[in-house]
Amino acid sequence: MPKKIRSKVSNTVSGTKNFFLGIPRATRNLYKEIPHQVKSFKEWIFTFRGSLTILCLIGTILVPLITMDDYIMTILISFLVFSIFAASWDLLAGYTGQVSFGHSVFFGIGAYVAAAFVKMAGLPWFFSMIIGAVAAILVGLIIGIPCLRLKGPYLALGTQAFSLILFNLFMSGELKDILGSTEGISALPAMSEAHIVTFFFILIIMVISFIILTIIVKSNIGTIFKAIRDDETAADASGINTTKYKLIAFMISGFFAGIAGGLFALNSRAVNPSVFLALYSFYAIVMVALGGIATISGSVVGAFIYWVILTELFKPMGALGTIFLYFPTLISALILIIMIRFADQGILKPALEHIREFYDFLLGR
Amino acid sequence: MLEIRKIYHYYDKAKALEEINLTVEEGSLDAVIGPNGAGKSTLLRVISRLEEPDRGKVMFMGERIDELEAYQIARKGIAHCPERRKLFYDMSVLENLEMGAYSLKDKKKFHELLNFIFEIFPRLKERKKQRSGTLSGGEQQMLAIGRALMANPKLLLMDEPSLGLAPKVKTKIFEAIEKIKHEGTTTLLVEQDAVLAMAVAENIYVLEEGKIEIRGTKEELEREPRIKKVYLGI
Repeated sequence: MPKKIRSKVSNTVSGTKNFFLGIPRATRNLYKEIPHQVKSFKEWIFTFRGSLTILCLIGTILVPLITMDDYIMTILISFLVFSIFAASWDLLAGYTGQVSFGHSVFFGIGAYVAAAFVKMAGLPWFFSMIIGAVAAILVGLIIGIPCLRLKGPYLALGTQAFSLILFNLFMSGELKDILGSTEGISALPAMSEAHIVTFFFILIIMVISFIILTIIVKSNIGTIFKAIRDDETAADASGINTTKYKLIAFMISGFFAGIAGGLFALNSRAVNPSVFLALYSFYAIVMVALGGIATISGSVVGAFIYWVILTELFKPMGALGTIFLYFPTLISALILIIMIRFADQGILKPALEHIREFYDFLLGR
Repeated sequence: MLEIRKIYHYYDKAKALEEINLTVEEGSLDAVIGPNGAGKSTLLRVISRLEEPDRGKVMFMGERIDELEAYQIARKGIAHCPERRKLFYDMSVLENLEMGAYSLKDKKKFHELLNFIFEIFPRLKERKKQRSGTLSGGEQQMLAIGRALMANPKLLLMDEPSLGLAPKVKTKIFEAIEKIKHEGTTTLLVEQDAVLAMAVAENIYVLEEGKIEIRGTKEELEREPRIKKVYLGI
């Protein structure tokens, strides 16, 4: 490996913390940081983490070129969709400290609104997805405002209550004129003729979402979120309008969860009230816990382990009897408990350390 | 500069503050001393509106501020350096200082303040990149003071800066407080250690059970027999 790259590795590792030095106010300056971010992105590609990410991305792109198997495509697509969903939860809970147990609300609203616009209004899927995400932002506001006074477990319960309300509302069939009855909305047109095209659409959306989320958490607004998480009183006393920033966190998180929900509905070509179930909030929590909380990129690892490895590993058990159908969920609950007890950092960070040692070894250090 | 008139505060039905009148002149360093649970911290929390007073008025630079939100008060130029530090423990020393400068718009001033803080607390400069949760108690206190100063405050509220520190570190902190005073920052200090507080402060208020029992300059209080006996142990 050339010397130039090696020196870049050490440079960026020590330099990433300096991103916002001297830029005390950030929200209005966010766009000014973009050239800076682009520059550091170019450097980042040559770092250990960067090259690893690019490698994983190339690997994902290669899969459909090797096998066009529909089943594998479906698994990979749900992995991509749920990694966006997990990352949106990570932004709210991991970075801002607002632990929401009702994240399925954003997911469900995104899914329903996107499905409704495709089905009833006949809009192209991309616009419907964006409209669904915007609807999720509005719901984020509606939930955020009353829940802002709640902290810790009470916030978790409060948000959970919202998901129960919406589940029951959609189950009651009261909304059948606009958003379908208890069966939800089905027989949506496919996103594209070929599975492989859908896959790439979703992959692009997922990559863009992760880039945006990473820019947000690395910029000053991300530092403000972390300040609120670490100590809300101190953040308040430093002149941060914590109410405003918590709402912003709810809205950003809602937007990306809405995107994930929209993609989920559009890809499975149907949506029903079960998207509001606590199970979906639980998915996000498990995936983030697996990958590592407050990392954003950990969500990808978590989603991969959950959707591709765990679920597929235990799926054959379903054939043994109906009781085993719930096996993946049971196992993941067990894994969640084990993770919290023994590896509360998730597996991304420790795993990266090991891979890093190997990487250094390859470079001959 | 700061004027508190007839402040009352209750925690549910428990009285915390009763008819507090207090004035801080511009450029001075005043201290509130008193035993545990006298309401000292509550008083500071009421000024920076982390706690809502039940009755009374708080005036700052001729403006009524007791109806504002905490973050608005911080932007008016009152920095609160809270009890038990309350740092952003997962962030580095530098990021903590940056957060302190949140309401500061002037970039040049930012670097000026940063240099001043690194000058009075050289330890913070050495540990700039370290996660603040891993600092020692004294260093954390230095960082908490530094973070409050980063806002370039007109009035600095300091809550028990000596809490839980070794005597040697306490002296260091108080040396820094004197330097801050020389820079011309008006300070209201709350402190349990009366000897330390009286060494630096100009006007002293003795708060007991939510009431200001005695007030006066340093010299006046040193003559007071009760203060001598209870607080100074002479």
